[in-house]
Amino acid sequence: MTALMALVRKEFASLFGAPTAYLTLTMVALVTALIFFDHLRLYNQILFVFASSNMGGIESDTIPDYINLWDAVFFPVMETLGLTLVGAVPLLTMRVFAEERARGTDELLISTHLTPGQIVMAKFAVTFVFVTLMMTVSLELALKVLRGQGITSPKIKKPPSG
Amino acid sequence: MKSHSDTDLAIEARGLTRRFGDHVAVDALDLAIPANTTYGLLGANGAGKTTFIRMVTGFLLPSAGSVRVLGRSPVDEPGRIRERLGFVTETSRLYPELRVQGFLRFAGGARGLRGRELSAAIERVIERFGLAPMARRLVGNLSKGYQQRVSLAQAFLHDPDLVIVDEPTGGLDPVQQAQVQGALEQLRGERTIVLCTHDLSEARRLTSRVAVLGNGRLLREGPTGTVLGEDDPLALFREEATA
Repeated sequence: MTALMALVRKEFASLFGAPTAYLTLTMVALVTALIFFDHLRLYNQILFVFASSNMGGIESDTIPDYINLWDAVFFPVMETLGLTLVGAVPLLTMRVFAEERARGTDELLISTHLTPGQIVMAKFAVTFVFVTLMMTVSLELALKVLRGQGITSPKIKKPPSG
Repeated sequence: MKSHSDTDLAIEARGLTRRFGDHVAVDALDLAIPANTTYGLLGANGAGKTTFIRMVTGFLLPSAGSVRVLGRSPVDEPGRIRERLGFVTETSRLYPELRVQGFLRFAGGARGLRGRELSAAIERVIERFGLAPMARRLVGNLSKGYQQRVSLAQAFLHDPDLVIVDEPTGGLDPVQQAQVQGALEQLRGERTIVLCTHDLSEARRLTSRVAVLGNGRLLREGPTGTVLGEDDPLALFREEATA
């Protein structure tokens, strides 16, 4: 167990000690944010069309059920995130063992108390946590909107007069 | 001085063979490495030294024959052997993104050390290998000489009975070679050290017995002074090339 935890800590340190992790996180968050705002814009446009054509405004019950945040924003964002992960996950997982072999550190690992099963388990756990973190960062905006908290821009202080 | 109650031989190979397709890297090798010696494994590139030590560490399985390390088989009991084995790979086979102390913490943890025992082991090897000024530096920013000292330090963290050192001075400049050889010289007689090298002067300085391999076969074995004291020791390597 000690050996396994040592490898898990080392894997985290290696992952976040190189720019690949930050680049991947940023790219996935950016792509998802762009898609999210694009769908949110479309959703708002649809609401505006209904509000304009119906003098009752957007509170009116004339807006059909299928026009809602889940179907118009959340699920399309999820679909895009799925496609993004198809590219991002291999980027992360390919290096996990290939890097050890390229550096020659696979022999060092094998010469310790770690069994091949523990090595696989530690690497899988760290990559799984990273992908979960990537998805959480990506879905934060969409989840915020769905929870009804809205997205607010930071307040800008008025410059001192005079 | 370490004691080997279960055997007087650190490594014993009998008819040990390893094939890669049609190529025979180690060919029916019989070799006995006594405990508590600094033993040199000599040979030109491709002689079979690295393949032999990979079978000793359990990284490769033999195609035929057997090997016993500290009285156990690396095929049947790899875990028990690794508890008592330290391994130094060739230069720069480390994690460059980790700091020296972080790397040693990982290496010690991966060998089952923890808590105070781990901290004490790290302090001990840092002092022993002169790594104190570099402890907080990134491994990737160290010179090759210091990287090799870090590599040596990780192998001694768990106080092993047997340490295998593969080409410790390959690719180092003369000053760095002298530093690494100096560190290894201090360790002589404490435990079994198997030094894999093609540098004859290094073997003369550090080892008490040597085996010369050529094309995977044992060409010579004996006290370093006798084997390398011949008029033309390079003839061994020429002999190997024509073997």
